[in-house]
Amino acid sequence: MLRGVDLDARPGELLVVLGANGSGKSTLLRCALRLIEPDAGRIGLAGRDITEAGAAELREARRRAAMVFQQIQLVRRRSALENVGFGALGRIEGWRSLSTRLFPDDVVEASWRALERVGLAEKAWQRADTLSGGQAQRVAIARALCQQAEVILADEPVSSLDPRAADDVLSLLADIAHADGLAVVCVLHQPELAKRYGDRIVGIASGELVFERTPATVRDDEIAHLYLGELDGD
Amino acid sequence: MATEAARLRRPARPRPGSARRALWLLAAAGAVAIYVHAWNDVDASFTSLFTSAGNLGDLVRRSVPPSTSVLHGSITASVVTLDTALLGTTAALVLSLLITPLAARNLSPHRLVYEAARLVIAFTRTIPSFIFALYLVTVVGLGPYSAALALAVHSVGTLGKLFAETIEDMDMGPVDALRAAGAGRLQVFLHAVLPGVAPSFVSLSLYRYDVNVRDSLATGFVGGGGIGFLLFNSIQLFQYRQAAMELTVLLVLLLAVERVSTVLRARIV
Repeated sequence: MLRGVDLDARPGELLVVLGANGSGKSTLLRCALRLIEPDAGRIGLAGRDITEAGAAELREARRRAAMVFQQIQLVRRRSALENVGFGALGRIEGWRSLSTRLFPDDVVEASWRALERVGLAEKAWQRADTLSGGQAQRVAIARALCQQAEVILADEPVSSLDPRAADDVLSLLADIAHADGLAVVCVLHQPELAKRYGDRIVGIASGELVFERTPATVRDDEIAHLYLGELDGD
Repeated sequence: MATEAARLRRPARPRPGSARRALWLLAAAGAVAIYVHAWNDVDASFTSLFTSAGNLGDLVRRSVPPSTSVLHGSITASVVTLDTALLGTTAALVLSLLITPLAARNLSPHRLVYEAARLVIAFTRTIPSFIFALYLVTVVGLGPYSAALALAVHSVGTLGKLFAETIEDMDMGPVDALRAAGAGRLQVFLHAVLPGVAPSFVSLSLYRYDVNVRDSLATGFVGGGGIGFLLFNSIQLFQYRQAAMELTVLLVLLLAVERVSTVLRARIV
């Protein structure tokens, strides 16, 4: 259950959300896009209330916030480049899906640029299920870039990656926030990574916001409280 | 090595209670009663198996050697049977692809739509293709066309059910990802669902073709043409040597179809 969680993701900033399993972090991100329907309460996204938005309005709202998932959710039997292009489906006319040319020229160009941005242009024609975990997650980030959203919501994007791949993915997300001016919200489990890459850290416990600080001011006991449920220092 | 004290602490295996044992006995007695009833209902008899052995020997004698005079006709009719199954299966595949997104719980747009789609699937699946053929020969006339239509209608049910279950079991990750990107229903189905389930769909369709070749024998018996129609006529007219040749051609045909289908499915999945 989430109660009164109001996140303000600012452009050019990587906001990290920390919290234990079951604290509501992933639910928060999925609720933000209404991938999970809330039982009660309101959902605001990019300044718009989408709690009762119809299909068309919801599609439009979803286009403005791209999601990077914990389990790498690429279409396995499609190439990396096609997967990146799928990020633009929200602005591609439906009839194109029935034609032999799904992606217009501008989307193809945007897909290439996004793939180059994550350093995987040489893997463009490789099938998604042949990529390593780190590469696949970078393709998922490229798909989010191709979506041309204002916000990227990353739900534990490094939980299944080795430390080096995790560093690659998080430095890429931080760079996208700082260089491209996007607002990036990233759910993490690792406090040390949160402090290294986050510009701001919020802690969630039992569905409630318990702190919101810069990495330099987050105390270890506050983090311990998120995972152990007790404050040692206070 | 476990000590004696540790052994004594091990919990004893739970024994079923007397009520539970009585329930099992009751269930076993019920099962036996059902089988006895079934045996009596069909007038089954081991004795008649042995006393009828002479009839079987007579039938075999009247069936050999298979008549070569119907070889060409049998091959031609077998090709008709293959074509009937091909058209029936292909039409069913197209129709199933249309109904499947509505009949899969995780994709269907509304509960009522889901129930309606499932009703269509249940209806077409429950009624055997030769029953549909019996009706369709009165609508479109005798011949393989009515058989192909009957196979198509029945196969919509079987393929639709299997396709919908495949989609319900699929990894929903790519679907969520495309929905989150703002993709519409058609886009999600074509670009996230179909690529994931296509190998299974192709495999199931090949298997269905295999089954439909056999089913088209039964539709042939009721006027749907093909090798089934020839076989039915030969048996009705006691032309057992002709029937033997038709059965031989049929056997070769079925084994070939099954082999090709198995090889293709193994390569695709």
